Amino acid sequence: MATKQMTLAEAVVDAIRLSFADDPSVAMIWLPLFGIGPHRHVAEPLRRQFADRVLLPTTSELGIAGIAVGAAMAGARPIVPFSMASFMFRAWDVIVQEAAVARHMSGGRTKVPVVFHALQGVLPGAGAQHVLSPQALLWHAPGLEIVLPSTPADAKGLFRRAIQSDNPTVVLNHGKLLGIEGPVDTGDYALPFGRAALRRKGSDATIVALSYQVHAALEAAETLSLEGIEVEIVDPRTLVPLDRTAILESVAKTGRLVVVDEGPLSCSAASEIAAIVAEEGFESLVAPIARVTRLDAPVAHSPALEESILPNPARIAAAVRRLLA
Amino acid sequence: MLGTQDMTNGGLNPDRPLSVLGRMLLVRRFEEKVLDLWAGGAFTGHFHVAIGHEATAVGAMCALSASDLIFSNHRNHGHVIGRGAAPAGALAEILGRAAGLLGGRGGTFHLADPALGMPHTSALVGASAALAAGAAYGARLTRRGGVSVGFIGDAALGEGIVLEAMTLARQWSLPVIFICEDNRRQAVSAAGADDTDAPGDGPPDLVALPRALGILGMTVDGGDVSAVRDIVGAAHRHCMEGSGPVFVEAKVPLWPGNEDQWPEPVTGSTDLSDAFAAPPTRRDHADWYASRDPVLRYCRHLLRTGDVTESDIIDLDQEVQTTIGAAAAEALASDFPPPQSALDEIFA
Repeated sequence: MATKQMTLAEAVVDAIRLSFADDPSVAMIWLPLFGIGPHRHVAEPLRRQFADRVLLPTTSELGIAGIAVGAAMAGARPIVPFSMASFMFRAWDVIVQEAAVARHMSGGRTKVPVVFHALQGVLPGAGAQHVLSPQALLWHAPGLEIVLPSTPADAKGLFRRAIQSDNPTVVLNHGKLLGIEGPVDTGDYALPFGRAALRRKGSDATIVALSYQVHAALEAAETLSLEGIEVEIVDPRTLVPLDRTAILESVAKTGRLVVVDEGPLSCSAASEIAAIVAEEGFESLVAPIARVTRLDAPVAHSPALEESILPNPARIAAAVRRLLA
Repeated sequence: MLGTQDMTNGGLNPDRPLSVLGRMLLVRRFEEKVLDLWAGGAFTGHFHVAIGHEATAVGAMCALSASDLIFSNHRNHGHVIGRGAAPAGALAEILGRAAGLLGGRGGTFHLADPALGMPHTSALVGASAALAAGAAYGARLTRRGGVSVGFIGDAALGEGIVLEAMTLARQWSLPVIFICEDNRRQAVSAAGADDTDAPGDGPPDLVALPRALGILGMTVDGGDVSAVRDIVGAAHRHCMEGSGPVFVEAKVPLWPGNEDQWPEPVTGSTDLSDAFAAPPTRRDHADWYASRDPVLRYCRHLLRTGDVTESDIIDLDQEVQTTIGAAAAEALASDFPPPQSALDEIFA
């Protein structure tokens, strides 16, 4: 297996390139895949190489999403990048009320193999309308697969799988992860959904972290290790389907759970995972479950305010210490 | 699934007047049966009927090919039956039965028949325009070919998704026909429930909107099945030549029973003998019987041209009523899906 150092953005593009080459029904509606930041040029070669299957739209997220879903019903495998997740909300109706329900509503006769991509998470100075983490809201729409990669290798394999999937799939990459580098298999591969990755082994507490927060949790783990606390880090990689077994097995081993996500606290992905463990793994717990999330506030532009509501390694470490106190 | 299907518009022969009339009657008697079944408590929830829309539904189906993809809306029964879906399967679907066209998961609002090129019916106003435009792209990409059709109502032109879909369809020259069934009745009127003053508030010619977006727009008498067939046929050719999209505004007569939010069988069971002589003018809704009902209009037209006789019509109607009666009996006798199947078919 040949590997290469790639950024996460490059890995995503690699997955899309392989999918275009492999399957003539793959198409892409050309909104900015990586926003307008420094990685915006990484996607450009796709547009030239597969020009006959790239549609250049007006800014019409709702119409674009509706067209993508209709195209998927007619046999295409469209990719719709919404740039920032905030812009998905213009298309929300189609995502949660057409794409998510069509298979069930047709008694399994109609499939919708569409991929929606968006950049989730807070980016510095972006304010309240360019920073949303919609994973919990999407989780509330049964019928959508939800993917949250944290490494370049995962981002490639999971995106490849998303395009192959016959279900509507939402891939959420964190804007702060686009530039992280890691070894990526240069061949064609897809990673299965519903398989968590164990990012770190430990016996004192389990941290379940999503997307960018996996890296924050790893940083917290280094600090805690110096204090003699060894945490285990579980990265679910996909929320739907969710690898409940991996989470419950880790908690069975450690007896303590901290869940970290960047969505606001109430009804968050962290809340759901906490509830699952409370219901199905209660006897394993020796301490209450802690959630470390964005606070229930819109994101302010001022860096001082922005920082005050976000999860970070210090807050994650503090939560672990509280459980061990 | 109940009943049998024929892949070519369910055996509809556009060149045989009795075949076209038979399909229009099938829609009419289907809808009258739906009203009966609802009144008898056989199903619950809101519903819409296509009485008054028969000429548009059947006329359009006469012009479409078996490979075309069709996206209907909340008022879909005419499109689904017009396309040739089995009435028993459609009624079973409305009754929530396992043998329904969609296993009982779609119901009246989402009635569709994927086997006949109707993959998904959205009841959200205007969604069909975008879905059809997308299917037009998907069919082009996968070389399936053909044309896609999105049926919308007049109120859908207030929805952003329709304007966005039309703009993108024009930009990408998609082979899609938007058929706007303009009955001047906002499905849920802006003025509030049961406000009958709302109809007529819209612009006189809805076709001005697509034209402003650069889309070929045509207007047709939606109560005239032959005229609808001709104009949708012209739109179909335009799309097949690669010159799409097209917008067809079919001005459909508002059936008096659709004036309120809940359909009311105010004109009773259709009496086709009203087509044989001038119907009495002193009863309620006299203009409906005299000139607006598309089924009676087509009967009168065929009698005038000598294509059919009165007894042809009576015999055909008997046949249709027998079909619908048997379909309803079959649907009513069929089973509900097992409760534990509620979690089936959410994911592939």
